[in-house]
Amino acid sequence: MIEQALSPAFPIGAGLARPPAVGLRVDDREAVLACQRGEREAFDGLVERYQRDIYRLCYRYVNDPQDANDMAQEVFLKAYRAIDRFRGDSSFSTWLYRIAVNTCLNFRSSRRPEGDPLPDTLPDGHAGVLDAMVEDERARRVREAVSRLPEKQRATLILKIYHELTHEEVAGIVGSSVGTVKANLFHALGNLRKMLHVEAGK
Amino acid sequence: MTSDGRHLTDEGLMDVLDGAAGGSSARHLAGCASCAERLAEAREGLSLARAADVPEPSDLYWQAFPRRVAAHIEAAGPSPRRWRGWLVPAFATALAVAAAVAIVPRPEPEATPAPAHTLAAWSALPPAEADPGLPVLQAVASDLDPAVECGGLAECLADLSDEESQDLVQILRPAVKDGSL
Repeated sequence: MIEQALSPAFPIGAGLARPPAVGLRVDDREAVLACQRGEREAFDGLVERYQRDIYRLCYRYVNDPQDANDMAQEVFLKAYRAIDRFRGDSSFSTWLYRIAVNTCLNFRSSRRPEGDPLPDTLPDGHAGVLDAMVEDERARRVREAVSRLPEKQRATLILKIYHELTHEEVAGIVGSSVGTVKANLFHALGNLRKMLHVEAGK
Repeated sequence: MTSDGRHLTDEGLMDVLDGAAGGSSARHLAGCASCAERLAEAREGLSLARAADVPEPSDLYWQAFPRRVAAHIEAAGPSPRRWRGWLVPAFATALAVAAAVAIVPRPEPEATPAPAHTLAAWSALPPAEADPGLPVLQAVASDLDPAVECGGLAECLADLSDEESQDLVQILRPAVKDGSL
């Protein structure tokens, strides 16, 4: 089951566990080794360290806080179950992102996406409140558009733009060449712009 | 156009956007409206994408999140892989035990004490060694699978007396210790 869940798009690597490579962050390496020795509490530290990154990635993928919460938990469950196979060929964060992207690709929400519609009449207030609402609405529209991009373009854009990974890191996570990552990102930006312009009636 | 007469590729335009392109791309863009337009669109898309923050959950959410993950792991039960990890040696050990049980000779039942007074009817029987059918029975018995003798492995194990079980443990213990099982 776990292999099926992890494998469809981007392989996370398999084989017998061996001590993680020296190139890992020291704190990650120690926590991973402890987990591989069966010390489950050590996993809490890894969760605390990466929970925000994983949650944000999931959120950008599905544009729903509840789904993002469920997905982020699922990502960590899968990581915990597969940690014996983590060999340290990549950094722990890259490995975790790979699981997260696979989880996102396989996720089918049981919920309807909940928007945050603006009220019919805006309350009187100073300009700051209105500006904030306009900004929130713009951000919501962009998130919505991002969540409707084709899957590979979406994964590439999220990892590159919002998580500020290098093209090489993104390529390692999504299992593509650097050239493909750049092309996917270029198309994602163009599609995002088109979707938002269509919505705005331009 | 580039020096080879072609437009910039998507990858090349992305390099320009990243500031990683060489001078030839810049020269091409200066003279190619099509590529310049595509670059401007991607730049606008990038600007739009960067405008979208994710609503941040509260600190309380983050404090509770590791606990929720731990509970999720607990509720999901042991991972199939970890379970398979101990199943294989357990199965191998069970097989070894089964094999050992099959070859361990079962102790003979204790001899019934001879009656104080020999009955005439019994005393008239010839000794077993003198029975001409004995070699035939011995030959047949030597071909029997001991496991079949007690109706199968499970029955064999179930039929073992406490004493026989202890004997089996004594027999298997050295093999388990030296890892030959």
